[in-house]
Amino acid sequence: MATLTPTFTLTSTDITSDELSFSKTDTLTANGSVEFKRLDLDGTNTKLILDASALAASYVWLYNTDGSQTITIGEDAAEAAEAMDSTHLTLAPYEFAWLPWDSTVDLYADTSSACKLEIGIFEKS
Amino acid sequence: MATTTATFTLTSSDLNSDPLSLSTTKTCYKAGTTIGLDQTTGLNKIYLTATTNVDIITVPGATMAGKNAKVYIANLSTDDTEYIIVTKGGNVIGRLYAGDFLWMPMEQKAAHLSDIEIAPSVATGMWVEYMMIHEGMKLTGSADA
Repeated sequence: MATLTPTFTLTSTDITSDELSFSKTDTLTANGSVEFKRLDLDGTNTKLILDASALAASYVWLYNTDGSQTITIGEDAAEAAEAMDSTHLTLAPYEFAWLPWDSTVDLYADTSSACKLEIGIFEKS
Repeated sequence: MATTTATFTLTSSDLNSDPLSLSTTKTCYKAGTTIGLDQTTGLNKIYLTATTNVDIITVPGATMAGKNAKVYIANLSTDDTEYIIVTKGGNVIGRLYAGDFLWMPMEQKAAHLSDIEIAPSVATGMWVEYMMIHEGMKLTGSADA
């Protein structure tokens, strides 16, 4: 069992007249396996990044390490154009995400050119 | 143009032999640019008393398609058994339990295809906080005209 402490802060002096500045800290327990790695995306094939058959529900950290490529994360990147949006999120260059994943569907990463995606997976149990 | 900065840190002293300590900061830009996002829903705090799905973020028309947005959602409940299920465009993102939050950059789709909904696990009342920083919204008419 391990304790994780994520903290998120959002600030802006000019997005509204009332200066934006807030911070949220959570205390999480990770009882399962931990993976922290960088994956090569080849720009041609989608890559399975979260395998529902191998992992339990987890907290997930995602980080686009590339300075020019955008990475999409979805249930199947090849289906991103269909009517229902199966793209969960889009990581611009050097952008990050923090979210829970229920391990009910596989998630894939896709990009138009080779780059690296950093991913941290912290199983809840 | 506005400058909005998101910072995330993640620490753990007992995850493994090497203590975890990561920190990253990112300015929120419009799609494909280094121009700051300039629209926002503001920071909202809502009280939900039913377990049905509710839209917290809607993409009302075609003007937001392909535009960037950053979404923050937090479950403010203090009861560890209570959670909200977050969905985007009808696909489940995950469950946020009491005290949990998410930060999710996304590309918007037209006309409600990337709306974000939440459903509380209980109907006894749950506080939720959310905010979207975005671009592209143009209000061109009244829905009840």
